[in-house]
Formats: sequence, C-alpha cells, structure tokens
Amino acid sequence: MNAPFFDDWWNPILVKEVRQALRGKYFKICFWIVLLAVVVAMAGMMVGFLHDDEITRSEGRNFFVGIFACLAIAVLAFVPFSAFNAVGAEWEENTFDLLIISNLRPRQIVVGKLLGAGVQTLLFYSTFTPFLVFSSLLRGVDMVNVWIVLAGAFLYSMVLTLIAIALSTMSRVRFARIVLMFVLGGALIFATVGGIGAGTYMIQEPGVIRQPLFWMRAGMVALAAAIAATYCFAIASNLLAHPEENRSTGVRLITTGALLLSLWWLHSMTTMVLDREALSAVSITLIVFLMIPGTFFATEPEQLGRRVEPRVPKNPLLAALSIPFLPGGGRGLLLYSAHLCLVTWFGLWMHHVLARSSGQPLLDEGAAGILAAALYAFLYVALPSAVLAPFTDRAVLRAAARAVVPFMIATFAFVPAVVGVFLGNHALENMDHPGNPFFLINEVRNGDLGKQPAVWMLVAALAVLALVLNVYRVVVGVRQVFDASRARARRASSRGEESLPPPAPGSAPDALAGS
Amino acid sequence: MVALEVRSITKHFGTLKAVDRVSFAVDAGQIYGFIGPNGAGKTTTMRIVATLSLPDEGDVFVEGNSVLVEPRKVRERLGFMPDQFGAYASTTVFEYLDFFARAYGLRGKVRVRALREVMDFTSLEGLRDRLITALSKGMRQRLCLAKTMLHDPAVLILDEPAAGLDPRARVEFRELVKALAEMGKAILVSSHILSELSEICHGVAVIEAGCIQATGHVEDIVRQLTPHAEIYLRTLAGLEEAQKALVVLPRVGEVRRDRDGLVFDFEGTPEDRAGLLASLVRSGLQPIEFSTKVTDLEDVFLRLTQGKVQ
Repeated sequence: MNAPFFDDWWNPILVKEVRQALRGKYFKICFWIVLLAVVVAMAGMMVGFLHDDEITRSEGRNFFVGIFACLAIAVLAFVPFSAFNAVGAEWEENTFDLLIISNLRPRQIVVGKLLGAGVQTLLFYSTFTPFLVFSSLLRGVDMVNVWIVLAGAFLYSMVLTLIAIALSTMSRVRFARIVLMFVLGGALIFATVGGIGAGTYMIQEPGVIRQPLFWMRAGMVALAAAIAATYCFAIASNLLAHPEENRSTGVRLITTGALLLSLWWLHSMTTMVLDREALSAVSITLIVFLMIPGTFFATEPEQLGRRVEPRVPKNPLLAALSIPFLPGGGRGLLLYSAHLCLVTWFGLWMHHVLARSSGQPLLDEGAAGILAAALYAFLYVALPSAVLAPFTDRAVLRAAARAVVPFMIATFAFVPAVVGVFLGNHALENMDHPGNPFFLINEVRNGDLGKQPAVWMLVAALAVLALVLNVYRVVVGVRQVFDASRARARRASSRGEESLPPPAPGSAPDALAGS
Repeated sequence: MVALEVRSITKHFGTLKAVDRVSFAVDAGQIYGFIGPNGAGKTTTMRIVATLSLPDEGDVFVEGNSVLVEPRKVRERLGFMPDQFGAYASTTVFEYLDFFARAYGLRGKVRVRALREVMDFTSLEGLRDRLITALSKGMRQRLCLAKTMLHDPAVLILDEPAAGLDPRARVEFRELVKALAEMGKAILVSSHILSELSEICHGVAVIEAGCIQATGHVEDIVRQLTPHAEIYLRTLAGLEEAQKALVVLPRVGEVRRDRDGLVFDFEGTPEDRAGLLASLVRSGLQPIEFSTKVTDLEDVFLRLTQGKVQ
C-alpha cells in the first residue's frame, strides 16, 4: 500500500478507466483486430514490393497511408465508442450514485473519461510506431507532415471522444441509449472516413503545409473543433450533475462565450476578406445554430430549483444580470432572444460598416436576409415553447417539447409542398411559401426585397404573437430570481450567514408522531 | 447531540406523494431503524438524506448542514450504502476501495491508513486481490460498508444492508453496525428483518404510505401502543374458576382463553403485577405459569401499519 507522492494527484477516474480498459474485452479485441489488420496489410505490401525492382516514393506514401488508416480506425472510431460505453457503464453497474456523492465533481468525471481515452489512444500510437517508422524508412513521407497528421488525429480523436461522452450523458434510458449508440456509430464512421481522407491528402500532398491558405483553414477548423469540444465538455459536465443541481448555467455561459468568439472571428474575417453576401450567409448560419441551444434553454422547467434558489446573488444588480443565465424556460427564452438580437445587431452593424466603405445602401438583400432569419428563428422556438411550457416539468414531455421545434419546422415547410403536389400548385410544390423560412430569406437575398410584403407581415405578426405568449413566463421567471435574491438577503441579514437555519439543539423526539 | 435531523420533508413523483411531512432525528452514537412495508417511502427518504434527491418541501440537516444549501458539506460527513451494490467489472477489492478513497479526496498516508482501517474493520484484508465479481453476497455487503466508511463519515445511511444475507453473515453484519455506533456514528438503517433491528436499534421510525406512523425509542412506542400489559396465566385449577377469580380483581381487563390458559390485560406497575400473582396464589388457584407477553418490534410494526401500497 505504498503511495508515491505523484500517485495521489492522478484523476481517480483516469486510473480506474485505464485499469478497466486494459482488462476489458472490448479494448483487447479491438487492439488485436487492428494489429492483425496492420500486419496483414504490411505483409501484403511487402509481397508487392518483392515483385518491384525498386521501391518508389509513392509506394512508401501508400504504405504509410495504409498503416495510418488502420490507426485512424482505432483512435477515431474504437476509442470514442469505448468512451461512450464507459459512461454508460456507470449507470449499468449502479455506480453513478456512488460517484456523485463522493468528492468528485462532474467535470472531473468527464476529464477522467477523456484522459482514459487519451491513454488508450497513446497505447494504439505506441503499438503503431514501429510500423510508421518502417513506412518512413521506405521514403516518400515528409516527417513534418507525418507529425502534423498524427497530432491532428490525436486531437480529432479527443474531440470525437468528448462528443461521444456528451452523447452518452444525454439519456439513462436503455432504449434511448441504444438509439444514441447507433447515431454515434454512424457519425464515427463518417468522421473516420473523413479523418483518413484528410490524413491521406496531407501525406500525398506534402507541399500543402507551405500554403498560407492551408493554415487559415486549419485555424478555422481548430477553432470550430475547440468550440465543439468545449460545448460537449460543458454539456457532459452539466448532464452528469444531479438532475436537481443547476445543469443549465454552465451551458448558457459557454454558449454565450462561443457566440462572442464567433462574432469576434466574423468581425476579423469581415474586415479582412468577407463581402456583404458572405457576411449575411455566416450570420444566418449562426442564427440557425443558435436555435439548437435556444430550444433546450426555452423548454427547461420554469422553477429555479431548491438548490439554485439559495445561490441566487443577494445583490439586486447581480441578480438582474444573472437572470438569463439561471435555469428555467422563461429565462432561457430571454437568453435566446438576447443571443438572436446580438447576432442580428452585429450582422446589421457589419453590413453598415461595409456599406459605408463601399457607398452601398444600408438595407440591402443581405441585411434583410439576416432580419428574416432572426424572425423565423424566434418564431419557431418561442411559439412552441410558450405553448408547451406548462408541461416541461416532466422529463418525457420536456423531451417531446424539444422535438416539436424541428418537427414544426419540417411540418410547416414540407406539408404545404405535399399539398401543392396534389393541388398542382407549383409555388407550394417548390416550397415557395411562408412556412419555409428559406423562401423569404432567399427571396430577399436574391434581390426581391420588397416583393413579399404580405409574407413579411405574416411572419412579423406571428413573431409578435410568440413574444406576447411568452411575456407572462418571462415575467414570472424574472420575479422568481428577485424573490430568491431577496429571500437570501433576508436570511443573511437575520442570521449573519448565507445558510438556512441550523437544526434546533436537542435530542431525538421520543413522542409518538401518529398518522 | 443531533447528527441527523429530517425536518418535515415531502416528496412527490408526479401525482404520487411518496414522502409526506416526514420528520425524525438521530443522535450521534445511535442506531435508528427505519421500517415500513415495500413502497412506503424509505428509500426515497434515504436518498434525500444522501443528497441524491431533493425534497419538494422541508429540509434535512447533517451535523447542521442543509442538503439544500450545502450538499457537498453533507456528502463529506455522510456515508450512504444503497440497497443495490454498485461494483465495477474487472476490479479487485483493493482497487475498488482505493478508487473510492481517491474519489473522496484522501491522499498519501491518510488514504493508506483509511484503506487499512476499513479493510481490518470489515475483515477484507485477506480478499484484497480478489475480483469483486467473485465475492459472496455477504462479502460484497462488507465491501460496500467499507467503501461507505472510507472518509470517516459521522452519519451512515444503510439501505437494506442485511437483505439476502445468510444468518451468519447477518449476525456478523449486525455486530459491525453495533461497533460503528460505539465509535460515535449516527446510523440510519432500514431493514425488513425486524427482530434484528430491535436488538440493535436505539430508536425507530415506522413509515407507511409516505407518512411516519411512529418515531422514538422502541420501549416508548411499545408503552404508548400497549398501555396494558398482556398476561398469560395457567393454573392447576380449572379455567372457569380462574376466570371468575380474575374478573373481580382490580386493574384486570378483558379475560380470554388461550390454548390451555387465560390471557388478560392488566394495568399496573411491575409491583402491582407481583401483588396480583400473590393474590392469585392466596386465592388457591395454584398458578403454574404467569408471564407477561413481550411486545416486540414486529408487533409494533403490525399494529402501526396496514400494508398500504402506494
């Protein structure tokens, strides 16, 4: 039972995960299958070389690509899938409750699972090293490219692992987990094929790393990956927390941070390379992406929760500032609206900047497209969430409310098209109707700015209706925060401490309570 | 000193009121039994105490820390042994305990000492390298108890710890629980094996359909439930003669026949009972058996509960 000093500072989950993984069947089977595939591939290539008089550079590259493909399958598919199962095992083995009543915080659990996957990835790397070295001895492979490909594959594996962990935390119901497993399996196949393709390109085109455009694109991909990874980390950490803890504030802050980062990037790009049309396209894309977290925030149960209430800031100003970031559907809609307003304002402002520099009118097609997208985005989230808000206390109905948003978009867009097929109405058939958000957006972006006043009026009226329907729950949500803030301030002033009253001294009551 | 206080907690699951204004308290060094039929709300209450669930109303305090406001402080002072043992596959006894010791933030010599102590206490030292999957049910329960004790909690919540254990393992487990109470720990234990609880518990809370039916010391509950002592009498004289003699005596209640003797309620102190026996002897009834029926926890349970299912 000797305990070296450094031994104490390992993440306990990491130690456990590595132990379990190395002893588990899944890792062993994957390891030997991949190793066998590499040996067979290598043997095949060696036999091929025997018939050649000379090994060409392209053969060396092909050999490396073959080995890299096997490694990519291991680290981009097997390792993330293993992490998905590792999270699920905590529920299957009834250990999750034991974990969350220990001193471990949910984020430590996620980090431990991620590091465990990282160790497995490195184990695969170490096993493949002799093969990779051998392939580099065959020449034709640029070592700098090899390092970039291997480092990129490692980081890509970690991002995929975080996505797998986040997916795994989304449901504890067996059926839902099986569905999620298939979703992840499909996504990992695509991701692995994409990863192998990117790695192959890097090896086959060694000169690519000397082009500035490559590094700009790589930077964009890295930024997007970093945002996705951070987002998944926040989601996983929040969902691993107890259902009655505050599981929303972290994700709301990360969403806001990611949005600000994206706007900063958009600002940089706009001043450097983007034109007004590209700016409009990126802004609309941002608005569409915001609908995903917005739907989740706006359909949360309305109550603050008994563990959140005592933590609402005492200071009224801080309490007011914290409102959009505290859990609750009304407060979530407030944050979503603020995000939409920010993107819309930013898009219009950048349009203004570009218009001023080029002498074009301010309200052009691009700006109108952003406005139309924002109206639709608000409408499609705010309207169903207002109607379904009374039912979001129950998990099943909450999930149903979240599913209504994409269902509603699809219904409004496609049902008129199907009706159009039967009626022989080409406009409906071609989805040229107000139910399809891209109809109006495309119309205005194609220069038909004032051509659809009735559609503008209809969408604006529905957005106002959605706003009106949400006013009550937003007001209630705001009032809850101020009530909690005042209650905390009262407790603090009456007791001189920020806690509920301690139990009265005395021994256990001996009286018969009666029924 | 009160180590655990449950203060008027209520918990709903949809329209079902699983726990309804439940209150009780457990002092340090006490073992408190939590008994009730299946579905009575025991596990829900215990999960609330263990910070795994939140009450809709009311609060729970562990050494003065609220489960609502300071759940982390509560977790530091509380050990929870759930009814379902959570174990990792491909893990040995030592690795399992070592993992949880680290998870509780124990480091260096403190962790090594804690591991040694809990393994000694639960007699698991000889099994340290055995896989958990190869352990018997009794040994698994010991392991679970060892895990629960690792961070030296002041309050232990044991949910059905004796379920599925053989008689020897139950006796051994009971001794471990008693030893823990002697160490000053407050223990809340639920069990269906009432005879065992009555032997070790200082107090009990009886719950049915989410409501506490009675709480306090077992003797107090018995005294309040049965203010009259129930006495069994067998004499050499005939039953009818004995019955006639009894009904005229003061403090004697209803007399009824039971097997080859008589059973009757008697209201009085032990001295009064001695006086009654003397008068029966003097009256020539020649008693050969005179015993006060002992009301145990099982009787209390049966009297207080009606088998209501939620």
